[in-house]
Amino acid sequence: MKKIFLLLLLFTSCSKCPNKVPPFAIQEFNGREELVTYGQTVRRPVYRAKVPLNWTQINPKDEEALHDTKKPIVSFVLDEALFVTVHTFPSSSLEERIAPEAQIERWKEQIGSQDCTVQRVSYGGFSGLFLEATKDQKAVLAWSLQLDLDHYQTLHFLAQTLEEEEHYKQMAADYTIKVTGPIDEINKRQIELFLFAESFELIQPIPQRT
Amino acid sequence: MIFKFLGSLYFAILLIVFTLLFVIAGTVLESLQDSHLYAARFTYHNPVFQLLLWLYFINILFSAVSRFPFKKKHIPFLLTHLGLLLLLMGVFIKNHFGTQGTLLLPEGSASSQILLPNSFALQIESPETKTWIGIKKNQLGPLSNSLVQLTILEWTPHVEEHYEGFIKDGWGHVIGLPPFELEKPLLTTHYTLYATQTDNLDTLVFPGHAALYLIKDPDNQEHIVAYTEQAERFSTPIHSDTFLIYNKGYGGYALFAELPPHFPQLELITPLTRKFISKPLPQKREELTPKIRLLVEEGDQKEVITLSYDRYSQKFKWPILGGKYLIRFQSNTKNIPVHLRLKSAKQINYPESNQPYSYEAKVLIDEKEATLNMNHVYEKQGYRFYLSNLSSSELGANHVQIVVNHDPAKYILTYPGSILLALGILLLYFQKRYV
Repeated sequence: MKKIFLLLLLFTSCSKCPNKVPPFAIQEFNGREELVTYGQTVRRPVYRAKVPLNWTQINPKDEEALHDTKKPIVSFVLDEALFVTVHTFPSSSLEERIAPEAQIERWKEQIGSQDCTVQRVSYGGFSGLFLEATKDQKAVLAWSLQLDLDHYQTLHFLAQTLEEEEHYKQMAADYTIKVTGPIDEINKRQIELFLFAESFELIQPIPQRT
Repeated sequence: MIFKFLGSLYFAILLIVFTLLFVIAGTVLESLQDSHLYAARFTYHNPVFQLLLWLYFINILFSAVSRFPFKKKHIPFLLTHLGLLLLLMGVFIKNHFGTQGTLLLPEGSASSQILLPNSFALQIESPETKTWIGIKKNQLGPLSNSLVQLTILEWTPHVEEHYEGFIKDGWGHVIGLPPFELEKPLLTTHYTLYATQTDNLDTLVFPGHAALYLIKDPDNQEHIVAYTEQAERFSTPIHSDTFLIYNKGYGGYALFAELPPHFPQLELITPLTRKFISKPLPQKREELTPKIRLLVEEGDQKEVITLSYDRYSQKFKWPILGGKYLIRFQSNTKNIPVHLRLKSAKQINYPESNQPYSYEAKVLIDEKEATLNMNHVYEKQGYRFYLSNLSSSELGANHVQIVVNHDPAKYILTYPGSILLALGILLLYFQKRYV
């Protein structure tokens, strides 16, 4: 009897941890304004990500212009306690790009915390830095990513029409994802937050020059 | 008599002995040359080895048929032989209709085009279209192509290709300035310009005035060293990521270098050219980099261009006929019915070490998420995907190399053959001996 019980125990054990990924939907997000013809702009879907179903999404108003990169392209509120904002920074040349290191330094100064860890990350053709900082029961998780240089040059190289030039400019934009809120809340929702940040990617794959 | 011999055990033993000799030769050659391709050329890809496989097929078939009329006691024997025949047929079909290739993907990109190993092709691209022309090793003469008329004039077995920037053939070249000889100064508005070759940048000292040195080291790496009037020094190697594509690539390529903002500015741009150095054949045949000289004709326009082999189709396509087309000498390609997109890739190290333990790639295969790692093969529509390599970059996107394998006979011949063979062996094991 004891042997059977042990055998049953052996066969009922699982080799993998239970899947803790929360239910989510894949959402698409518009970039900033793209010039269609002289004086006429349009905002097209550029990014997509896995968004947990319990997040409240705040899209910019249709009439609101997003030329100002201080305005997020999308934000989320989680239980009125956590705030997630996504900013993009389109550029026309390499010199206009903001290095992830510079973003991280700026955030560190804003937070004014000594308790910071910075890690290199890379997803979906973008690479950059991930910052985790805490101060006075508040925490910040922030990602600053920049498109790979080869990809950036390829997009500029392949653009043949004004429409492509404008859309590829949005695709080649640097982006940041910033989460702010109480430490406990952030710790509780870490899986959701990483699910969103690590799945954030361009809808259209980056073309190759091969 | 011949039929009896072809189906006999003696013939089977003879074949096994020959096969053993090939296998031994293959193992020894591969370990001596460190090249699977070299060993395969003399062994497994050799027509004699292919003939051996056919002779095995005949031997097994004739041996089975020789038992006719079949009786119940023959079932295990026949199952074993049928299994072997199916396995051999699977090998023939895989060799002729199977696919083995490589897919190279950087994070963020997608493709359904694989590169076929040890194959050659020319890719020609116009702003509207792309074409590939497969070519055979050492092939000379005209090639058929719808875009332009091409003739291979010369084939060099192995070369090394170097890019040349600011220093070409003993002269300094900067767009907007006349060429200047090595070690001879050229006065410009802010700097005295020098082109020089040295293996030690530290030997350069402040010359007493603002100076800019364009330097090539023995590894053909170019550097810039600049001095201000106040003896402030700036030194940087010129990397390939500073290539500037002008005129959308169709006019050619240029190399540019930047000085720090507080240095007096000088526009440093030079056309990018190539130099080929013939080399002895490498021991590892997989590393062969042949070079071809190609005559390109369209109407009255003619041009001769030299191209070296770009195995992974990652280098530049070069402009021809005044920039009307781009051309590259590369591996042949094949489109597969499966679309792969690389989301992210990472190297997993042994704990407390930088030694790679495994690689992992998150991919979208036909928009379905999958994880590939060194021990996890993914299969879709009969195509198997193995993660074979990863090159990680500190500053940019990681790249992966995925081996793609398609065996059309696997499910209809190879696996059923293996099952029949195993079943036959099992039945033979339990069967009573008969004469």
